[in-house]
Amino acid sequence: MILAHPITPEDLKGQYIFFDSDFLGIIFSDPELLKESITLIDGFRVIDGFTRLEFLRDVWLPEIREKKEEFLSSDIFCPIMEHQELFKQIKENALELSRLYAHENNGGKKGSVSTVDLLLAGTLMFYPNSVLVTGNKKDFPSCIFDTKGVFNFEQGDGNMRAISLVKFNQDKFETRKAAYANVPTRR
Amino acid sequence: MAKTTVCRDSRTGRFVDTSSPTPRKTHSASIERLVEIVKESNAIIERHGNDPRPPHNS
Repeated sequence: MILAHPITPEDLKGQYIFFDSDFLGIIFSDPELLKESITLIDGFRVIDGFTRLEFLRDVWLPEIREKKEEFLSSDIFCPIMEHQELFKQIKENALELSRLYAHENNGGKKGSVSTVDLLLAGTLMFYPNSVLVTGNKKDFPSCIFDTKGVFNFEQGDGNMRAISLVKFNQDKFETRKAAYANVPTRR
Repeated sequence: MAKTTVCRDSRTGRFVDTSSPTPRKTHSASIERLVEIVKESNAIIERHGNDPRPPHNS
């Protein structure tokens, strides 16, 4: 399948724009790409707590940690609500999505999607007006998520890399959920 | 500052998002500062390496 639809302001209008840690890591190392992509992805940008944790973890140098913290505290990012009750629902969403992924993709084997990406998927499911900017499209499978737009950039090694704008699709979710409910049980 | 708005649905007891986020004007000074942070971070890595821990001598 060829996806050629570029990201447009219409794709972002009225949406929370979540960034995943992979994309944050990419723009944190490339000033030119940072400037161009932040200008392109203009709107209500948010970093959720799980992504924040993943972006800040395992940093060895205190100076880099400080730079990353300063980066995340920029006013180009808007605050997102964190509450125990919301976490409970997002956790339930993530667990349900993991079952559907397992059923859809690999016949019930343990999936390759990380826990943080599952929780991020559960967050997108919670907020109907939300999209995610990610460099790892495969972690947000097409059986549940739509790709609303794509942009490409050239890496330092000359290879092209695609960044996707994905959105939770309630209809796809309901279809997969119904299929999951009909999985025959062995007795 | 714009924030997310989440309310409890009295019928289901679940929390739902009720906000309609609107695009915010990004100040070019904010983007310029981010670019500076990234350049400073790259300079630190250039000086120290990303993980300058000495290798184990086992």
